[in-house]
Amino acid sequence: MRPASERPGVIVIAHVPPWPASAGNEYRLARLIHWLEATDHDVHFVYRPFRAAPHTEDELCALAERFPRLYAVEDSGMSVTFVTDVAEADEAVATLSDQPVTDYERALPSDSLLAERVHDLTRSFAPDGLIDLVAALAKAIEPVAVIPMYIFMSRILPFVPTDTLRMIDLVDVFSTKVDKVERFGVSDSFAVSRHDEAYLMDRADVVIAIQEEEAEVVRALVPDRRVVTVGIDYPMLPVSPPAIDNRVLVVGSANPMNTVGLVSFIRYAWPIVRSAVPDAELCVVGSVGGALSGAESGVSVLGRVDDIDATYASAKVAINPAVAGTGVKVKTLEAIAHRRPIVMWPSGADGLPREVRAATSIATNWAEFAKLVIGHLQPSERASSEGAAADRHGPDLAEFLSADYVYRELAEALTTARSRRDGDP
Amino acid sequence: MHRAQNGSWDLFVDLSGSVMTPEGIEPFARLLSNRLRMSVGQRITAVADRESRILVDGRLFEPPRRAGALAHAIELAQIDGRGLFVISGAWMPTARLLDDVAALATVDPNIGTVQPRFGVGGSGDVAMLAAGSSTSSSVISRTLLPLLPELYVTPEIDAACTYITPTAVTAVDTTSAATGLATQLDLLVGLRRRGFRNLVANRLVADYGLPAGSVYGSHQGEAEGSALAEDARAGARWLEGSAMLKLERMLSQSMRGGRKRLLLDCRGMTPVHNGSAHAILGYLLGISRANNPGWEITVCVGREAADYHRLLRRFPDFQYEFQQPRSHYLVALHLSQPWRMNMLMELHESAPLIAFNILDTIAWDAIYPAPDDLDRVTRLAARFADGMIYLSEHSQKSFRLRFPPHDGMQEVVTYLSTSPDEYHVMGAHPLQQTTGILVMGNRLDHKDVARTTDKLANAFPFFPIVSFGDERPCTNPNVRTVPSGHLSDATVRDLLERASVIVYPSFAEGFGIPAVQGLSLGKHVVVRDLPLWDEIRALTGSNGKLRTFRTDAELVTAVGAALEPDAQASGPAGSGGRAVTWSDCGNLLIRFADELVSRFDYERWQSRDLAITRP
Repeated sequence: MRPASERPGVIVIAHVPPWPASAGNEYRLARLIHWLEATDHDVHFVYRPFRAAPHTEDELCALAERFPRLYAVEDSGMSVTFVTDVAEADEAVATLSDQPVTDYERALPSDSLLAERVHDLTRSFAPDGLIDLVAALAKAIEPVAVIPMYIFMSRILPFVPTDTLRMIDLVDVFSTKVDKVERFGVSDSFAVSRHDEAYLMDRADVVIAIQEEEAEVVRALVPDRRVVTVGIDYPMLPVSPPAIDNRVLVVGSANPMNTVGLVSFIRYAWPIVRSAVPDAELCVVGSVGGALSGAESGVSVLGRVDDIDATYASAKVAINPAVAGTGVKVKTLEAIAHRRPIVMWPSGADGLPREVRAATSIATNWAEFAKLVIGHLQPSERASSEGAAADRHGPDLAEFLSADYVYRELAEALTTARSRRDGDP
Repeated sequence: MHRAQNGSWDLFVDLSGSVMTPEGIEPFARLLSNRLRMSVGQRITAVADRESRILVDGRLFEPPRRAGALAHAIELAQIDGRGLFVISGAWMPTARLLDDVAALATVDPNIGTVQPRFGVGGSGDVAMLAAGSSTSSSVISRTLLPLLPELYVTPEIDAACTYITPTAVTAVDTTSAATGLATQLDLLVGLRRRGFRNLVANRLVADYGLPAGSVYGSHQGEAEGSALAEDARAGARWLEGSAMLKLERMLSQSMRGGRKRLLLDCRGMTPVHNGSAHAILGYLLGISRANNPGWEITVCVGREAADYHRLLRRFPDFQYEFQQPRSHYLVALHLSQPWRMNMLMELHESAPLIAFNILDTIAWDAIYPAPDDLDRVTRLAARFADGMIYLSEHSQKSFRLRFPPHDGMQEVVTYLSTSPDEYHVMGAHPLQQTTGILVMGNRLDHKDVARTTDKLANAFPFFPIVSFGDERPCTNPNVRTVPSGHLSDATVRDLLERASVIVYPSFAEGFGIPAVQGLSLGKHVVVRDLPLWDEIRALTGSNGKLRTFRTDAELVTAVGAALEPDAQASGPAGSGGRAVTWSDCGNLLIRFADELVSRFDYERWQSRDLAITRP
């Protein structure tokens, strides 16, 4: 146990675990924490599973091994399992068990103006017990910043000391869901109005958008707030060996957009691919494979794989079949980092730097999607040379995917906050 | 010169209903004897105004007082084993006719009497058969006689010429005749009671020359008070209720002004724009343009549909009946499918020849859009209708598999117009491709509009889609739904013209009008794989613009290919196909009606009558 003052603390609060990362938001969280740690911050990770999703003791132990300051909140915040190497934190959390949970509804009268569903979501994501915990932690360790993930956790922020930088890592801009997701027939229960989203964002001093286009949307919603763009870093791998088989790779979690996308790909595009390339094989990695039986022609459902690098290396082309989505598509970055072409819908390239976007194959319909996949499986001479050229551009892309590039605005915001708190000019 | 068969029959002529005086009997008898070139021993007994004479071998005799003239004529025939012609009225049949009639005595031992038909008036039309007390001045065109069976076997008929066969002559009770109670009708009823029936020879026509109303029933008044009067009424009822008399009534009204009457039953057309209406309107247009001087056309249609489709303005040369046919026709073409039993019965009652237009079999296949008795109605139609018209060979094949028609069924595949000129004017203005993908159909499940629209919205999420026939509220901003049924032709045409590709995903089609319309505009058309489309290709010269699909991936491939810039830039569908025009359809239908008439089958008609109208 050590005192808190040695390194600046940052409290990160999320409803998903950062490790092992199997979904895009988990990967984003993991990379963010990794960067914070790499830049000499003490990260206190508060894990509050959404709707009290169960986790086993083994899972928590494994998580605690990876994150030495872990606070797992259950039962609407009534129960906290924690491990920390900071004495003040340990004491603050330990004393919570002797106190009743505070009723924060009275302190947030304007929340009743939110749409009822949104209001419920904020209380589910950030129950009173969680606020008690974060408020106590913040008071005890005096972190440089508190970063809850998603707007629905912004309920915490009014109870964070004002000398702490109050941030929100948006990950998604939910008021754009209707345009970006629901229009494609994918229902999203997290869609909110612009008014409600602005209200929730307004609680932060600094709002973190995951890509520049969404940052612009956010600036329009909360013009008085500082908005920084923080994407997802992904270290480029060395040049991969060429794939041998006509393997197509899809990696994804079982969210509705991925599920709809994969099922649609199998129905509309995969038969076209198989017709042109009879030995084509689709490898499905991740929980999105649960949408399939595995009996589909030319499809292998692999589930979670231990060595994703090897899986990418075996594939000629990756696909991101999700037509809809917000934020940044980790799958796109992952494929590029593995130096594999990726075929996707326009949304798959949202928020990517122009240079990165140029390395992707974008389709606007399933017929075109199939053609692009076929093109990568059976590249023409010209296409092959273009691919080789793209490979040569690898180092440039590596720069765009590097942590230094991705987190530059966040680093500046944290530095400013530290300076201000420390009284530097 | 024909000579009467020597000694085979005698002749009894009843002139009492005429203006003939007793003095005129002898000259008339001699004139008749000469005309008939009577053989030695052949007798003519003539009666007028209670006077009678017997002429044999040029000599005159009077019947004995103990017996009436008719009874005595029968006695003489009985003695010689001859048959006896009983003629009413001052007219003279030919020897050939009488011999031909007499020759039919041998067709069956229990045929007691034989009668010819009677040509009346200057036109040579034939008097319609009448029963009992009902005299009729109605006539049947001589041209329609071939439609009648060669022979009718009937109860007794009081006619202007009846041949009593030699066998039947022996069965006549001359005793009662001798009492003076007997009448000609008594004689005929008596024969029937002894097991003899009457034979009407429909191919033998006597040139009667007198008014049609005097052909039948001239002795009806004599029957009253007779011992057999009640029995005579029973015989008349049998005849009255017979199919043959029903047919004769129908035929007597089935021509007008020398033209055959054709009923186009368009009651399947409702006040909406749909495939049925398109087909019917096209047929009407074709028939109105067809060269059909032999036919008078009447359209039977619901009043609302007639108003909605402005039939009377469009086709002023047709006659119209509303709601249901009330007149009689020679041929009734139901320009849509068999649907309800009452329509089938009404059609049967309106014309001896009926035919249906088979669009497809989807209602029967799917059941839910069909009335409960559709199966029975359609099977009856397949079993008893005279003809079937099909929109395509595909439609014909589907129908025949489900409803094997009888061997004599006349069938024709008319198609609908595939002529671009009749759908749209090609190249008159630049095509405006602004609606993206147009999914065509209607709300019925087999059209598969909503499902296909959802698939295409998924597969082409950035393409605007118009879903025609989709009655759901719009939820996808890329999709515009347009209910079918009440849009004008111009609006539908506008939708077609603005489409980049037309998708017609129907699972069951008889013709596929939207596909043909689209091709006629030079549009790319994507349809679900059916044998029908091979026919359409041949009829439209689709120039590769008609693509078929089976799976969702094939749908996506086909639509994707159609949307390729190169495909969009390609020219219109070619005219190399064997295009069908509405005039072709109209001429075909008229020829079909003629063909039906030439192949009328009385037995089938009677079977239909028994099956659908008799309890």
